[in-house]
Order: sequence, then structure tokens, then C-alpha cells
Amino acid sequence: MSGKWSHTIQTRLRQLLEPRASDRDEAFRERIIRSSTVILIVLGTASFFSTIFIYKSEWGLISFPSVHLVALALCLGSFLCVENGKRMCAGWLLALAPLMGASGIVMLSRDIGIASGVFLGFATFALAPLIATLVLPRSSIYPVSVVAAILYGVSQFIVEIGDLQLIGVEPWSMFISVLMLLLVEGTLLRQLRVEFDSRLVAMSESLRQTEQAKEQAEAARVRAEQADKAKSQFLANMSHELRTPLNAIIGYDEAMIAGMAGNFTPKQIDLLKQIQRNSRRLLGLINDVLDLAKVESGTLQAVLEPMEPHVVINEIVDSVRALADERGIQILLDISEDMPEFIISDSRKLEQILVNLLSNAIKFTEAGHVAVAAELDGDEYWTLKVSDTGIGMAQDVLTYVFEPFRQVDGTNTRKYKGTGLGLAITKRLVECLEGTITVDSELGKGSVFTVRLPTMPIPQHRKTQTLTMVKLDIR
Amino acid sequence: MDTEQLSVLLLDDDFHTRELFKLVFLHHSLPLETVTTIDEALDYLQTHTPSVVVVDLVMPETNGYEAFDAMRRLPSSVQMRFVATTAYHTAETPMEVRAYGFHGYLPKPFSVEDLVSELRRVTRDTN
Repeated sequence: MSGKWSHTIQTRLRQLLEPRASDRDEAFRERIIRSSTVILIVLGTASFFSTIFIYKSEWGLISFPSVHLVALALCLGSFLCVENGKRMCAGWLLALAPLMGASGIVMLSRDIGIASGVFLGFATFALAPLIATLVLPRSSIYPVSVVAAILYGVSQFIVEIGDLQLIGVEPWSMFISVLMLLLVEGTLLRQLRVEFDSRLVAMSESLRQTEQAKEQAEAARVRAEQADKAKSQFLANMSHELRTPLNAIIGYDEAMIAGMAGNFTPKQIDLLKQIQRNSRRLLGLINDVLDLAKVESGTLQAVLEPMEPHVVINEIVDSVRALADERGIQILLDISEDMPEFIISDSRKLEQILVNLLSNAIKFTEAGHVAVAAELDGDEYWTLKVSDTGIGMAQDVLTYVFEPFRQVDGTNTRKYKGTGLGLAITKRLVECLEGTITVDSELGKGSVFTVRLPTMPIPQHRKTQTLTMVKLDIR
Repeated sequence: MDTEQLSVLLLDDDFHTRELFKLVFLHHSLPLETVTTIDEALDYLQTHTPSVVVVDLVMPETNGYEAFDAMRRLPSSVQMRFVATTAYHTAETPMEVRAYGFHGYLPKPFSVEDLVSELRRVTRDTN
């Protein structure tokens, strides 16, 4: 039965002392306020009863029992404040309690002429700045100390001693009270030190963790770099291994077509030309896959230089005109008047983009025309539009036309040759030039691809430079 | 090929590239020597001065750049033009090759037409 009781009391006490605040600073203050108020209430109550029953002090407006009650009320108020989350208010009440209590007891002791009360003074006054240090803002430590010093001075030296004949309890009887007070103060200071030490430990731990994280990040970066290098090396090797045999096939075949290895019948020549066409398709495919891999690995870099869009676009369109003529399709070219004479771009990538879009448009157009239009879009951008009157695409497939290996329709793959990589590569190339590509299409009516590019893109290396500078600034 | 004094030395470890060169040069009745190692190439150059040397950049034993350096040290090299060829083709290779001092570049796979026009170009530049 008694075990159960003590257990309940322990649990209840732990509940009383456990701080509710989640923030570390606040929780520390709250814990100090809770434990201090509980200890002071216990000590104060004991002192109150000993005043009444042992020393049989008389009751009055200003008397030992009433001073005790005021101090106890302040402690209780402090505890209630902290229960309601008002930690600042609780701190001030807690600092005020020893000041009021000590002043009252010392002055009353001197007034009545009780020697022992005087000895309690200093230890009690010292509680106020100590509590301020622990639970109040830093700026309040000096004011509280000054107030404590003044009250101590006034009560101890200025208030006159009423009756010169010291009466009452012997001075040594205050021994236990002073001892208790000093123990409380020692405990509070120890608490402060424990908190300080544990914060130092936490800080060095977090420093160590930061250092470790930095090392890990560095190691990961090195690993990624190595992996990237290995990938690039693999690509280069792949490219070499695939192109070398193709060189033999295309070269021999060409030599045979050119009659360098004797004469062939027209039928044989025709077959040799088929070999030639298919080898070239295979080469294109290999180049596409390698290009895509290169783009995906991020090794693609724009070589930016000034160029004349009129000239470049005209040249590119001319280069695919033969392909269009073969299929009886017209290419219409319209370069708007407002296009600047010079822009900054990568002509090779621009060529790849436009050739990809044009050959797609030609491939998917049975009859009609393919139109290329270039115009300025605002001050800093220009657009390149490639539209056709071809088979078009349904709305739902427009979302993934730029994904690799997705030719619009599975069944199309046989009819329309290609890897389905062209648009994926085109999109990456456009992004490499800091642009965007969009598509609009209607089934059976044709498609419009719009490439929006900056007229003066910021070179990549300058961008990385600024990034590094920003990083350094943060450090 | 309208090239009276065009003679070529090809240094390439790939059998088919050498055979293809032979086909083309035989067809045009032009002198061609093919070798597979840098030592063979240097031996040949002791006694001959071809107008063009075509060097494969990636070979198992030596790389083409080292071979080019060795050949470049020969006094007779001033009369020769050097063309690099490789299947290790990247967008940067043409510039790298030029920067290194090669006069021409022939990425594999090349067509007969590519071969002829590149050889013609480098020899024309001499004159």
C-alpha cells in the first residue's frame, strides 16, 4: 500500500518537474523554475511552520508569518505561471520571492532584535541574481543584482536596530537554514554547469558530424566523378568498336559500287546500294544512341559564338531540300524581318536541332509542305517553328514525344524508320542552348514544333563560376 | 583524283582500313604504302617521302599522337602532310587534332568520297 503511494507521489512529482517546452533553452529555464519553486515552497513552508510553532512569532501585518506567506505566494504564483506557459513572468516572480522574503526577515529581525534572522540575509539575497542568471534574459542580471544589493544594504545597515538587546533564538540555530540555502544555490549553479558542459559536447558533436558529412560529400563527389569518367571512357570505346567495322562495310561497299573491285550487274549494284543505305542508317542510329548517352551523362557543352541566323538557317534548310524533293514535299522558309542580324548560339547544335525537326516533319508528311519560320520573341528570345501537314499526333501522346525510345505509335515504327531518339536528343540539345521546345499537333492535320531560344545565352562556364563564387560566399 | 604526285603512307592497325585504302589507291593507280606499327613507318620514311601520311590515332601499341611526334622529328617531314583518322570521334576531336599539328582529319567511318576530298584538300593546301 505504502509502495503504491510512494510510486504515485514519485510519478506526480516527476510530472510537476518535467518541462513542457520543446525548445532546449526554454526547457532548461522551465526545469529550473519548476525545481526551484518546488524546493522553495517546501523550504518556505517548513520555515513558516517553525516560525509559528517553534518560535511562536506573533501575527501582524508585517510579521515573520506574513513575510513567509508573501514569499510562498510569490513562489506559488511563479509555479502557476510556468504551468500556464508564462515562463518570463514566472522567472520574475521567482527572483522577487527571495528579495521580499530576505528583506522582510532581516528588517524584522533587526527591528525586534532577534540575532539569528540577521544571519540568514546574505545567502537569501544571493538567490535573486542567481535565479536571474538561470531563468531571465541576460539583460536582467545586472538590474536584479543591483536591486538585491540595495535591499541588502538597506535592510542590513540602514534600518535601525530597534532594541539593542538581542533576544530570541541563538545565532547557531540558523545553521541549518543557511546550509539549506547554500545547498540550493550550489545545486542551481551545478545545474548551470551541467547545461553548459552538455551544450559544449553537443556543439563539438555537431561540428564533428558536419565535418564527417563534408568528408562523405567529398567522397561521393569523387566517386561520381570517377563513375562519370568511366562512363565517358565506355562511350568512347563503344563508339570506336561500333564504328570500326562499319567503316569496313561502308568503305568496301562504296568501293564496289564505284567499280574499284571489278564490274557488277545492275542488280548487284542495286543490292550494294541497299547495303550502303542500311549501313548508313545503322551509323546514324549508333550516332544517335551515343549522342543521347553523351547528353544524358551531361558531357554535352554548347560552343557559343556569334552567328547570322539568316545564313545558318538557310544553309540548314538547303541541306535537307533534296530529302524533301525526293518525297515531293515543299519546304517553305520564312525568316521574319525582326530577326537580329547576329545572335549568339552553337551553330552545330542548332543545325542538329533543325535537321532533326525537319527530317521528322518530312518523314511524317505524305503530301503538302513543311514550313520553317523564325522570328523574334520579346527582346531576349527568338523562336524557330517547324510545322508540317503530316499525319500529326493525338493529344495524349504529345506528353511523351520527347521521351527517348517513344515513337508515337508502336505500329508506326515499321512504316516510319527511326530509333525514336531524335526528339529526345533534340530536346536535350535545345536545353543545352538554354531554350525550350514545345509541340502542338492534331491527328491527321499535322504538327508544329516550336523551339524558343535566347538570343544571347549566358556561357556555361561563366555560370559555373558565379555558382562557385556564391558557394564561397556562403562559407 | 587529280593528283600527279600524291603518294600516301597509311599507319593503321585495322586490316580493313588498310584494304580499303589499297582498293581506292589501286583504282586510281596511285602509290600507297600501308604499315601497322610506328617502327615500320619510320623505316619506310628513311627511304621514302610520301606527300601524305595518314595516322590512326588509336592503336594497340602506340597512340597516333606519339607516332606523329616521332615522324615529325624526321627532316623530311617538312615535305609531308599529316592526316589523323580515328573511330574515337567526338565533337572535340577535329579541334584537338588541328591543335596538335595535323593538317587534316578523317573520322571513321569515312566514305571513299570523304577520303579523296580530304587528301585532295591537304595536298592542295601545300601548293
